[in-house]
Amino acid sequence: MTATCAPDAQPAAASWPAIGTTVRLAVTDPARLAPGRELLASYLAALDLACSRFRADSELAGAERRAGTPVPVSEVLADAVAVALDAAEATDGDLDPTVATRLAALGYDRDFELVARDGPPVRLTVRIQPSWRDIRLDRGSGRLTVPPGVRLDLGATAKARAADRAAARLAEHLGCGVLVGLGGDIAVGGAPPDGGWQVRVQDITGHPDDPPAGPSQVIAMTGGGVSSSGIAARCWRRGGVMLHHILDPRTGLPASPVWRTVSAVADTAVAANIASTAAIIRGADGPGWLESRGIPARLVAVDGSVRTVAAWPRPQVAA
Amino acid sequence: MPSNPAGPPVPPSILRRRGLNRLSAVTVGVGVASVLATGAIAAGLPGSAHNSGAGTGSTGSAPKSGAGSSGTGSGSGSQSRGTGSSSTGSGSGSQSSSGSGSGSSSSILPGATSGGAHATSGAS
Repeated sequence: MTATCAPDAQPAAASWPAIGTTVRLAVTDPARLAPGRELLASYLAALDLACSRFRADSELAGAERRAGTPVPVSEVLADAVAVALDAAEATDGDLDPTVATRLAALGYDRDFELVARDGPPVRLTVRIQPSWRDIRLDRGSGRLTVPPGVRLDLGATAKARAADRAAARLAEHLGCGVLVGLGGDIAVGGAPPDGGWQVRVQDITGHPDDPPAGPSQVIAMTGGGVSSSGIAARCWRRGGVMLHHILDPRTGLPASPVWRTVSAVADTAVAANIASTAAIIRGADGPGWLESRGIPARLVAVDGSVRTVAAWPRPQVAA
Repeated sequence: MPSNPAGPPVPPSILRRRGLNRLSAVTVGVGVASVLATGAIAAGLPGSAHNSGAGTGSTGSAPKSGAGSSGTGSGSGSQSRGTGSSSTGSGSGSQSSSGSGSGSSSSILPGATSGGAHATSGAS
């Protein structure tokens, strides 16, 4: 690390689409934005090739095709699977990567931009299906065994993990403060700008210059990560029934709509993502679950009312 | 061995620490309470990984980012307000309501009321 931050410069930022979401990169040294973007784009391309469930040429797809067989996988995929399994265990199965099979059955079987927003009813089959407990990952040798008939969705945690890793690596390589946002998952690394990174939590991730559609709040972050999960995005309709992408693994159906958005902070974006997604799935039990763990969070109910738990800051009131 | 905010080292805290390290391996410069928050998330993580081969249950697949200091450094400095952030004092000392004795999160503060945000976080 040789570069130093320009002390008085305002952060510079860029946004672009990648891995099925919007990427946001901000750096405290504007001169480092271009090389940072190049590094991040390269990292995300590798992530997509390893973990995408929509690419036939991804490592993940290859492991699924060889179901039941231990397959050596890259460190990127092994790490993503490891994090997904940890998340499943930490939440008693609220976050289960095997929901991809059920997501596909409900119509979300390709990049969301290509999913028909409306369609006829889907036929669902009730059966006992392998769960995350049936996935075998030898973390020492990096061999992954996907159970037969199972598809994995690593998206719930993989993007957040990627934000964490990218923020740490970019901060080290660029030698300045870095914010990496991948959809609703944001991680920061290095020295933050004065006052911290200003992050606006809202229902749907958007450009900071665009006004939010619903209730929002700006928080300042000096470290760690923030993640928002919600049912306001990635919605589609089948047979007149509105569906969303956060499934309750216990039913295989979209989680009951109690909260439309949950935002949480933790020392990593992936930990925040685990908390926010689990709270969506836990519904009415979400706030208590978060509170008992001291996880600062902001929950927006389907009626737009806002509830905060633990150390989530109160909104500042303009003078 | 970092101190355990919850009491003397006992197997559950060891498990918690292992899980914390696993989840926070890439974090740098975070506040104490946010570390504790993650530790709370990770409390359900066992020390040995599920479904792994013998001896492979640690952080074998964790990134080698070189950071990873937040987990081990959090115990003792604990009551400091963290990262030297520009705390405005507006509620940060009184907002903690967790049962684990953690302080408020110093990595999250009320945001500015004017000026643009650097990023947004919502469903995507």
